[in-house]
Amino acid sequence: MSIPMIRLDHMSHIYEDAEGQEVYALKDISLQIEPGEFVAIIGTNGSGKSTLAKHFNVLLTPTEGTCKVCGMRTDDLDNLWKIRQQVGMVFQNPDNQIVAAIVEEDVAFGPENLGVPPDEIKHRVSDALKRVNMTIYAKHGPHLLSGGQKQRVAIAGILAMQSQCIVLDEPTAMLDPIGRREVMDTIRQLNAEGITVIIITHFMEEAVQTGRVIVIQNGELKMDGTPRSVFTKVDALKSMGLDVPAASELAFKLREKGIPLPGNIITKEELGDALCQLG
Amino acid sequence: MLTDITLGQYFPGNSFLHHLDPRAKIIGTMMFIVAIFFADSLLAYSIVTAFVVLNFIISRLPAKLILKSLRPLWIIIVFTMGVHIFTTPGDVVWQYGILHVTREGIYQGSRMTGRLIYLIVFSSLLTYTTSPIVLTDGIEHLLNPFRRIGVPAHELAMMMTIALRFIPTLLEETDRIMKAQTARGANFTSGSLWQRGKNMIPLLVPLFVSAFRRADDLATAMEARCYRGGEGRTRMNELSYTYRDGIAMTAVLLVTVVLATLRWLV
Repeated sequence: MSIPMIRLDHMSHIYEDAEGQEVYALKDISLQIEPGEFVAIIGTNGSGKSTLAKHFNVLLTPTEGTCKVCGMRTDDLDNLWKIRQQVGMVFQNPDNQIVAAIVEEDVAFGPENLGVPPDEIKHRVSDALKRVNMTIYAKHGPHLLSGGQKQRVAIAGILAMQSQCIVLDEPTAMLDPIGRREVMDTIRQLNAEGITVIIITHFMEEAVQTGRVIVIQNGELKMDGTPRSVFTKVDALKSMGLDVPAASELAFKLREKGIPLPGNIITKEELGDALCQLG
Repeated sequence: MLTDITLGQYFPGNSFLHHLDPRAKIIGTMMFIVAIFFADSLLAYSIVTAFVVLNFIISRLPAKLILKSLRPLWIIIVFTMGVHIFTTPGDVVWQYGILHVTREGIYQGSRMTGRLIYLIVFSSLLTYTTSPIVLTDGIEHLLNPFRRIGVPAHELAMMMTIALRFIPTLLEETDRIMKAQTARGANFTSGSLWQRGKNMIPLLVPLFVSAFRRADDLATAMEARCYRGGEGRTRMNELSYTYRDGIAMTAVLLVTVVLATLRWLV
C-alpha cells in the first residue's frame, strides 16, 4: 500500500469572524487522495473549498484533526518546505502569481528557491515549458500572454519544482473558453503522466472530465465519488445551489417528462447515444 | 495610450557593450565618471570625448540617442553654464548692467558643463545597453558584499524585479479604470489643474486597492512556491565574467590612469 498523497483525519478549520464568534470554515472532514488521482472539488461560493485547498500546501493548517501530505503532518513546521515542494498551487488570477518579468525566469523561480544548481534549473525549465507547450514563449514578457497561456506558465513553474501534486484553485474562472480548454487539456495530460491533480472549479463540464468529484457545502463534505455517481444526483446538487453538467440536467428533465432515459447520463455523447437508441 | 510607454531606456542590440557583464558595466561606468572629473586640460577633454564617442560607436546605437539622453537635463546644463559664466571673477569680456561675463567664467563654465554632459551621456549608455532585469541582477551582486553591514541586497533586487514585472500590468489596469470612470462621467482631460487633480481621486483609489490586493495574492503565490528570502537561493542565469569584460575594464582603467597622470603628474 503506497502512502496516500493527501490524507485528512477529522480535520476542521475554525476562524473568528468580525464579532469574535468562532466559525467553522471546514468541519470534520476526512478524506484520502491517492497518488495519480484526478480530483475535482466543487461547492458554492463560501462553501470552504478554497480553504480546503489551502491546507494541501500549508498555506493554512488545521485547527482540529490532522492533514498529512505524503505522510508528513502539515502542522509540523519542519515539513513545511518539503510539502510545498511536493504540492504546487495554481491560483485564480493569472496575473497575480507570476513573479518575474520573463517567462522562463518565472518558471525558474520555484527551483531557484529550492536551491537547485543552475544547470539543472535550465534543464528543468526547458522541460517544464515543453510539457505545457509554451517553449516558444520562453523569452516573452508575461504581460504579452493570454490568460490561458499565463496559467500554463504557472503550471510549468510547479512542474519545474518536480511536484508530485498540483492543486488548482479555480484556474479557469477568469479565462475565456479557449483559455479554459488549453488549461484543461494541459492538466489532463499531466495527470496521464502520473501527476496527482486536484482542481477546484465552478464549471461542471470540467469536473466531469476528472476521475473523482468531492462536493463541499457549508464546510462539510457532502458527496465524494465518481463524476457519474455525483452528477446523476441532480436533485441533491440543485438543492445545494450547485449546477450539474448540461447533459445530465437535460436527461433529468426529459426523464421527468416521462421519456425513458437511463439515469446515469453525464456527457453530451452519452445523451446523444441514449436518445438515438430511443428511436 | 498608456500601454505604449516603453519600460526603461533599454535598446536591445547585439553589440560588444550589450554583451558585457552588468557588474563590469556598472563598475566601469562609475570609474569613468570619476575619471571625467580628473580631466582638466584640453588634451584630457579630447581623450574623454574620444572615449565617449568610441563607446557610442561600439554600441551601434543611433546617434540621436545622445541628444535624447540630454534632453531631460538641459535646464541643469544651461544653469550650470550660466552660473559659471556670470559669477566667476576675472577678465571682463562683456558687460551689461550688473551682468558681466569673464574669460575665466567662459572657461570654467565650459569645463563644468562638458563634464556634466559627458557624465549624463556615458551613464545613459549603461541603461541603453543593459536590460532592466540584467541591471537588477548586477546591482544585487555588487551589493552582496555589503549584506554584512545590513544592506538588504536580495530584497532590493526582488523589489525591483517585481516592480518591473508589474509596471505593464498596473498600466493596463489604470487604463481600464480610466475608461470605466470616463463611462460614468469622470473627466480627466479638462478643467483647471486643481480640478484635474481632484478628478484623479476616483482613478487612484481603485488603483491602490487593486495594487494592494495583487500584492497580497503575489505574496501567497510566492510562499506557495517555496520563497523564503535570499538565503539558500540559486539563480538560473548566473553572471559570469568573460574575456570581453577584461578588455572593457582594462580600457576604462587605462583611460582613468592616463587622465589621472595628466592631472597630477604632467
